[in-house]
Amino acid sequence: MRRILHDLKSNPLAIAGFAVLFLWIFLALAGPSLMNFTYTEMDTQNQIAPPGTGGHLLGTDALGRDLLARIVTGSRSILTVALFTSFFSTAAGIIIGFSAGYFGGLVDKIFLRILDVLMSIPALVLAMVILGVLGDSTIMSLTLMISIAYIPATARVARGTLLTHKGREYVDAARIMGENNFSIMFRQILPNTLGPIIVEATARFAYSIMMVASLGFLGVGLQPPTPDWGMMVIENKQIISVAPWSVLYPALAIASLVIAISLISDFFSKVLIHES
Amino acid sequence: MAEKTLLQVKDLKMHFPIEEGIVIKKQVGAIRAIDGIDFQIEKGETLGLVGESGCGKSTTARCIAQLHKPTGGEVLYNGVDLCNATENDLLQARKGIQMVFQDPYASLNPRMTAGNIIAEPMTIYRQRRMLNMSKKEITERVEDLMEKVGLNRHFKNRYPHEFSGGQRQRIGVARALALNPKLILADEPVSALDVSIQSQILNLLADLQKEFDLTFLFIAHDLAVIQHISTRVAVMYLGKIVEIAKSEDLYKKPMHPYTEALMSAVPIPDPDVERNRKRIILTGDVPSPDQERHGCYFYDRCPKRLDMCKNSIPQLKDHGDKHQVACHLYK
Repeated sequence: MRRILHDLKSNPLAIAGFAVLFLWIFLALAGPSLMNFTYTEMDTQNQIAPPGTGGHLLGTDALGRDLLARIVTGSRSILTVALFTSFFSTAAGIIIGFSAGYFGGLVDKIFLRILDVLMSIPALVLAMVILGVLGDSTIMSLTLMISIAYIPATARVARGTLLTHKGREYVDAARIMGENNFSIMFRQILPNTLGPIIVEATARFAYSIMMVASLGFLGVGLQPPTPDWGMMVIENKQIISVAPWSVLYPALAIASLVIAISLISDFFSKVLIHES
Repeated sequence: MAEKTLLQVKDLKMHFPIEEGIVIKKQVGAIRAIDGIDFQIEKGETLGLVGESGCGKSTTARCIAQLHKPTGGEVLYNGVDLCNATENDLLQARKGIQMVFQDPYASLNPRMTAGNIIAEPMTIYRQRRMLNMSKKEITERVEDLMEKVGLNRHFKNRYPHEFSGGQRQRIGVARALALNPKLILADEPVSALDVSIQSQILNLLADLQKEFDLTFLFIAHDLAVIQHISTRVAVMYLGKIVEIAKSEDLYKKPMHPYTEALMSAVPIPDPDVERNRKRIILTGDVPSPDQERHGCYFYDRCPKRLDMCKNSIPQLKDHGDKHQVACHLYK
């Protein structure tokens, strides 16, 4: 932990990444109460107002809704979905990947083939199919479906790192001491594989944000009136020639968050994988 | 079985399957890592096991510890066959059989402290209710063990990477001792260490053996190391034991041609003698262990082979004073 903080000091990109992420988390938690407008409030005097007019810092959209308030409120759902998605897909990936890799043989083969099939379908298509089954998009169903779409990737990473450790002598030593399989997997091997798994989890965090935004853009994401960044981009597309800011700001929000998390992921991969 | 026999290995075989095919795997052969070996270890002795790389030494230890399920044969520990034991019996037996590994860098979990590594076997058996010790007793025992193996007890919160190779091996030894085992399987415990550290660890093992009345199966490929620590020595070649004898007998008058060649390869620390030393140079390579053999396993390389060696497998026979050889030269 101390080493990670030490490395962080000499990595300005990672610091920037953490700063942006924490800014978004702060805005998501406290932002809506600091705003002059709520995200549904329609300011009929100021429709398609450019940034800075009538107290609208980032301007308004065609209905006169405050863009800043909508973006800040939208960060809540997107961060919630991304956080839980990366957590659930990683946890499920560890369980599936570890059991497949540890027991090997037929179990491994069956799991791998299932994962191959899931991986051969693009995650976005898979997500839309699962959504079709689950019905309307809510934060819960989005989380569930994106998690399922990302399990093959996390499971493969978990399985791969487990295999590099499974053959080490400390695992044999644990077996001789009578340790049971469950405890060998999760008490002995898991702490040694956390590096690559954390890197994968942060990468999944960034991918989930893009996935939520993409689904919103395609109109199958969160439904109105919940503001969603991807949905805002598509809604404001009609007025892009008169009000480019209405598309620019939500898109910038998506980009800033994804880039920030990618920088953090890069930092983790440097510190946790390449230096140990 | 004699009263003081601790471990008896009968016709132990370990064949690793070779598989081919993409979807449907078919066994097309087997690597005969161990191909029928018999030996026994008496209480309190140290049986050295030598042989070149790939002859099945480590596999033998792993089969005894049941890390591999042997293909055939029996491993009798105190009269219980470990190969067919129930899980509970196996756990009970493993309390008495512990292993020291070759590579002290790989055999300790890098994310656990030295203290936790040594406490591990006790913690596990405590959880399984097969060991009656409180947490405090375990902590005390860990500290005792660390001092027994020559480590400062204040090092218990350090991680393996903070120790040197020799110190790590000491941690490995302390872990093996934690459950008060009777038999320790030492799988090349010093071959990964510097020569100066090797002797320290060997002396430590010898001291511990006296103090705790331990029995060792000591695997090495270094003949000097084996001679130093063993009371009896078994020589392995291609998954078979070719000769077992008391340590001094084997070094003075090796009987099997392979042992003779092996012994002639030991350098003598005296330049005059060393200059005139006759070395037996074996020709050819060790044959691949994937074929079933019908004659002597050493036939291809033996300088003294007879016609009969080609079609008849010599069995281990006692030639007096517990000197057993598997060779047709001796009738």
